[in-house]
Amino acid sequence: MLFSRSPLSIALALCAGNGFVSAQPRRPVATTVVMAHPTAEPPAGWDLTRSNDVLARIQQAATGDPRSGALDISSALLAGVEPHVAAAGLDTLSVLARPESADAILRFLDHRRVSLRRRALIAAARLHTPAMLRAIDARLGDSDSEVRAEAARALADVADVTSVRALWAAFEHDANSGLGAEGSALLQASALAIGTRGSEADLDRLLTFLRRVPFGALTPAYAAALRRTDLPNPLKVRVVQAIAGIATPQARELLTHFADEHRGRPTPVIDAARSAISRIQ
Amino acid sequence: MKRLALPLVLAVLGCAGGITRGAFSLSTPASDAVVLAAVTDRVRSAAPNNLSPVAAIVADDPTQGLVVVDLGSGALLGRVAAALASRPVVAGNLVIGRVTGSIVAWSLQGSERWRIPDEGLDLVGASHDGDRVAVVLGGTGVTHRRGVLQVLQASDGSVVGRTEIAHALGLPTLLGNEVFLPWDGQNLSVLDARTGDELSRVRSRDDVVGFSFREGNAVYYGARALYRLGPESASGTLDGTPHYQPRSDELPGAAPFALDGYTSLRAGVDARERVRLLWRPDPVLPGVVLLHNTVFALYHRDVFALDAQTGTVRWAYVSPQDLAGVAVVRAGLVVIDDHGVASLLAPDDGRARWRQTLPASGPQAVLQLAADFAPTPNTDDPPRALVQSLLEAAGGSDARLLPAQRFATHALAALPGAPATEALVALLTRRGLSVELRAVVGEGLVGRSEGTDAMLEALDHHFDYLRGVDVGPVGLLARALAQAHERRAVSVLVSHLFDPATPTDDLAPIVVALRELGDPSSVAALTDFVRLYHADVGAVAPVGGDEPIIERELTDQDHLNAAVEQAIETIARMGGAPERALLDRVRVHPAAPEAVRVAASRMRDGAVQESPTGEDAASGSDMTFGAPAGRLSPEAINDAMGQRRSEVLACLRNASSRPAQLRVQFRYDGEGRVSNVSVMPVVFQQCVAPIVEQVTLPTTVAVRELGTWICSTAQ
Repeated sequence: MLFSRSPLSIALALCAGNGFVSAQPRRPVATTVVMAHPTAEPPAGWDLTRSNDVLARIQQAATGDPRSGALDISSALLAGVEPHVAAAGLDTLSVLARPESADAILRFLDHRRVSLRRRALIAAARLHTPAMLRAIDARLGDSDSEVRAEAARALADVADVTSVRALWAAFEHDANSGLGAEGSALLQASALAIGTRGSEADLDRLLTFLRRVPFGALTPAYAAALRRTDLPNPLKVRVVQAIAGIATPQARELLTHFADEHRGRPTPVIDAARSAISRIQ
Repeated sequence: MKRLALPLVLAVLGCAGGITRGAFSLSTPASDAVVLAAVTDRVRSAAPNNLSPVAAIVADDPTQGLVVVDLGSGALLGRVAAALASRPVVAGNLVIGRVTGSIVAWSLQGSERWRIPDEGLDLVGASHDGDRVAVVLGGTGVTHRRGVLQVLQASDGSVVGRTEIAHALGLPTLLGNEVFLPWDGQNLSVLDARTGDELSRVRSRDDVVGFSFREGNAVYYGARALYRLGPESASGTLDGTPHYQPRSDELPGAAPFALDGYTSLRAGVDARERVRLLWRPDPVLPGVVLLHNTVFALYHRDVFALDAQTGTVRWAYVSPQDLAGVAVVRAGLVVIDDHGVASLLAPDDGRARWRQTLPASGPQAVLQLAADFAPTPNTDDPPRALVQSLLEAAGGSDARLLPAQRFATHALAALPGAPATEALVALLTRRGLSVELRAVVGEGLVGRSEGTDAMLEALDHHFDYLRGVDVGPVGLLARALAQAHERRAVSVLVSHLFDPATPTDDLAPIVVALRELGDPSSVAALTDFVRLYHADVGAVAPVGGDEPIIERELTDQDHLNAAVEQAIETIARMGGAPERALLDRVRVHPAAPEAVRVAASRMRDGAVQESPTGEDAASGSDMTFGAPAGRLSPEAINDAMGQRRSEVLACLRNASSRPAQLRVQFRYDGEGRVSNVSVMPVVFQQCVAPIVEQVTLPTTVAVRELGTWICSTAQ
């Protein structure tokens, strides 16, 4: 059956077919099976010169056995397809999150098209292997600002200690560059990733950037840190107190939003937030 | 001709064959060798002229006057508060300048000695000898034929002799009772200082005469060449007279051999004074020999020391500030910058041997230095290698200095050895390098076989936003490494081929370089490249979903297609059956650009012809690892393009600036058809491209190749 589909519709169809619609990242799959690698030849029966046919094959491959599906799609991508087909393939590999797609994802992380590099970054984050993390880290230095920000966003879900170091490099680079009133997209995304994945020390360090970078760039990072359950209350109290020290409407809004989210759950952090809100005019 | 105080004293000539008709008469014949030998004898026996080592430094605002500084002691000698209308002259113990309506002479201490009316003319020059000074007025060019020669008592300005003529007068030389005076661009007359009578004349038949000056016991004259006055001057020809003529190679800013002797310079900054050649003859040696056998090319703040015979660059010097005054002496080159720092540069390597901060500064310093001026060395600057000094001259961010930077770059490229290559690479990878200079440096690298390590090291760097690493000149380095047959470059070139930060116009040169290097390990990478990009056309929906957008500009797509075409050709020539099988898919892919499909078809067909048996193809035995046949050599391209060179050069007429070369890139096919012409500098694209597209190159087996033609614009 041949029909034309957009990459997004295929990915959504695939999600529905696989029975999961959550946007949460998959955890890496532990397996003892020897991993097969894709070839750079078209999968049997795939005519790569007919894009609609390939799009249909991608959908079929995705809704079948994930392992063979990832292999077929990866082989097709490596053998060469049109860019809109590659976009659909990468979206599908992202959902499948199979290690067999690593070769294709790595290849497209270096593709000349920004949109395909961004898709490859999303797929790489879903694989969540050390090799993929290092490849994502490298894209923080990409020549395109959208790709750099995408890399930081991808790391917000999966960054390890090494990635956090790379995120700091990105954050401080753009913090010193003074790009725009709200900071660059990379500044915002790397701050958020640090707030989401950073250690206690990282959060304390992030506090030192208050008043040095646009507050709007840091707001999502502090909000994410306050929501984390793995961080101790004393750190969160320090975060609240530091934000309260800004005493701006933005700071009040952030703390109010945090307090409202945790209404009815009194903790030292919530108490500190409410106290701060009352002090900010 | 009008004369005042002009007693007729023909008898004093005392020589046969003397002037028999009126001075400056166009019908007067040139003097013969006997007469000129007598003149030369009188010059040779003249008393030496002791000159005080001084600099007259014009104020930033020339209406504020000038300051006289003793360069021997560094002391301030005097100040002149006068609104200078043109460049002053130092003549012995006088500073002579033009102020409103007058020519004024001041002592070196700044007191006015005398003034005479300027007669509506500018100050051309002045020459001092004994107790007299000769002053020439005119100064509006050789075509404006009105001039006045005044011989005056230096002490009070009383007139010894005055001659006004309807001819253009050049820079004079006073020596005893004789004035050597160039006129009308063709003649050097020797006049009696007191009467104005013409005692002898040299008439140049094939050159220009604009200046004369005394150096030791010799008088020199010329304009585009330097002649030593002697009996041979009677020939009136370049070949028949001992002379020195600089090589005609392109110099920074097309610096003239000497300033126009018939045109006065402005007071203050005058660009003509900032871009010129400096030299000084050595009268001790017979014939015309320059001190240090060197010509110094000045370009604002750069100085290049050139071998007087070969034109080879010996050293370069870059002053921190623009140079306000420069003079050659036996000890080296004296330079004074516009911040008031005087230096003596060693003649052998250009390092400063003496440095003195003067008590005044200004944009123009008029120097009077005897040849034996030799200040005591007071610096310990280390010796400088030629490469180092040229690298310094080629770099920098002062856009005015581009011609000097280009000259230094060419000089670097002409040097053999790894250090020169390293310097070129250092230039090429420098941030902010102008596009034009980048092309010059790149061309300079191509063909160098020494120092490829530096090229490889430069290629090792990939763009990194966070580390501040910029995109390097990958395409140029690829060409250079391929020419050097540097196979170590293969892996790093492949890495750049797949680096999205590599500019698209560098991709084809990378592929061509990989093909020329002929390493089989690159075939797999090139095959992957073709797989990835052979149908990479059209719009893609952005992440998150939206209307598909075309992310690539047309020119980028064109560059990418060109790279894919080159990769296809390489695969066809170097690859085996599996790689060639890819071409079958490419040639029928409906989304592949036509040029890519056609290339795949032709290459596939060509490859089959080369390897009629599938067995051979499968085993890869028909791989060729050398440069493929079919590309035109640079010489062949030059020969074909050269036929239209005059038309191309016509595009440069009336251009605001004339580049040293045009860099023309284009594609050509097997029939020799030229297309996709790209011209640097781009300002000439519109005019040059249609001309180049009309050129038919020799036929080859090439499908679509990239070619480069460097069109020198030197006439």
